[in-house]
Amino acid sequence: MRRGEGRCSQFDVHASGGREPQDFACPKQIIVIANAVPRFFIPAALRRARDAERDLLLTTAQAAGIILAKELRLEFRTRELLTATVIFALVVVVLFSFAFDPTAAESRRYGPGLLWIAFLFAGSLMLNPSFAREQNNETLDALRMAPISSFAILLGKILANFIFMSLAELVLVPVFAVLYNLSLAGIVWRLILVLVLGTWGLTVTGTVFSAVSAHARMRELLLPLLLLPLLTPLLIAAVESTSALFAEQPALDRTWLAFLAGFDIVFLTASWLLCDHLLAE
Amino acid sequence: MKARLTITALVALLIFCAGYAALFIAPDEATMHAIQRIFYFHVACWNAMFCAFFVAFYASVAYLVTGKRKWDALGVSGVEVGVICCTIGLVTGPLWARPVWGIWWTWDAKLTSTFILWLLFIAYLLLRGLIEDPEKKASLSAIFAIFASLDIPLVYLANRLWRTQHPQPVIAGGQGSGLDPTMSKVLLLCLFAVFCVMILVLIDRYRLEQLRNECAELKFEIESQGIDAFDGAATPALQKGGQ
Repeated sequence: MRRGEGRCSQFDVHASGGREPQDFACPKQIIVIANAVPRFFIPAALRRARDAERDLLLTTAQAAGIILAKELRLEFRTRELLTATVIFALVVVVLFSFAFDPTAAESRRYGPGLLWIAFLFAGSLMLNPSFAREQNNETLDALRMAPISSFAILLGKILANFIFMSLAELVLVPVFAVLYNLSLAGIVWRLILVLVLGTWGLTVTGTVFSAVSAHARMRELLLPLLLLPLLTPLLIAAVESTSALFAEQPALDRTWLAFLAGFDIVFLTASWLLCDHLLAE
Repeated sequence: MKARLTITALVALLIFCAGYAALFIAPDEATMHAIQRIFYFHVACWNAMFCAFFVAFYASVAYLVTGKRKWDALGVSGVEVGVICCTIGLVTGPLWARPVWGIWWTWDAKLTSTFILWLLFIAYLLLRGLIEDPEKKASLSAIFAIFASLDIPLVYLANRLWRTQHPQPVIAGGQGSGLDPTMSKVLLLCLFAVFCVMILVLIDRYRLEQLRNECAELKFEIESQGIDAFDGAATPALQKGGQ
């Protein structure tokens, strides 16, 4: 049975047969890097492994898609995570209005900061169930038994969390703009670019740390403790580039955008390299 | 055992000499006078901290590659010693800054980055305390240490970029240009002495961690045997990796 055919259920992932990722002698990361190199430069043994890995790569994408579909279905059955996230971030935004006088000039100065802090707090709470939920019925073991790479599991969850977070932001940003007298006219696309880069970094690190904290006691408290200090560079970069957009003359700050992209790349690469250890039993 | 005692005594003598040199031999600083003498240990602590965190980073990578428990023990020792050095640095810094800058703390790039560094590795120690399973504890904390180490250059870069756009008037930079030759000799001595102390503490902490691991394993073995003999391994009440 091919994966990605017909209706995929949660059980397809571990019911289907396929090639074990452990079949190859060298680490799959090296093989995937070899994919970027012309065929001529690669030794024959590595080339065979690479060609086999190509099949696996295809299934990595498919498997991530299946995990994503499972996460989305699980969430949209109840929508409780999304609702709670949006309401929580809204509460934070409302509470901040007591910390300073939200006139247009003040909002321009403090708004981007509090918007991102609301996102970070909401994210560090929302990402918690991502792996903790799998603990209840030991479903993570079932996922691990499936003949898919562990990065596929992680990637599926990252993508799902990215979608949840983006949906929450889609609701929150307009509400925020209305409450704090900020105008979104003319900067929507640039703002979306900043939001996407920032949210991606948040969800990548957050999902990885959700897998880390899932094994610990007091995980609800631990995840923000692990995540928030790590995200300070992201917070600075996101706030600065959002501030540049909300300024009198909106501008896209290239330095900070590049920084955000760099942050995303560094931690996505790190989680790709470490995902085998992260999800190992 | 005798060799270790000798080495410990030697390092104690070294750090005593370094303290004497910093307090009495180094010349008086032109504007800051006596308060500047904290600089010899402040800088030395940061130096030792970076070495300790580098050891922790290296050991974390090595643990994930080899899977040997000794690397995990070295990793946690590196982080603990590094956190102590960082704490000393963060305490001596404000002590110096209050009379010289007039403020205890400022959100300068270096200060902010080290504070975040401290928070990150405190979180590492917390994480270790909250995971029961020893295998999981080792691999997950190694992953966290690698992420934290990757984050540090980014934190520094971000604060650097940020502060150049919003310069702080309070800060005129460090000592920077040109130390007196005696001063730099004393500084070198202090750097070396504190580095030796750090290495000594690191090695002792590493031994302690290995002894703890051994002790936990033995306890686990005794417990499982006792239960086996008692009621035929029917009770799954084993606490894996006890205290």
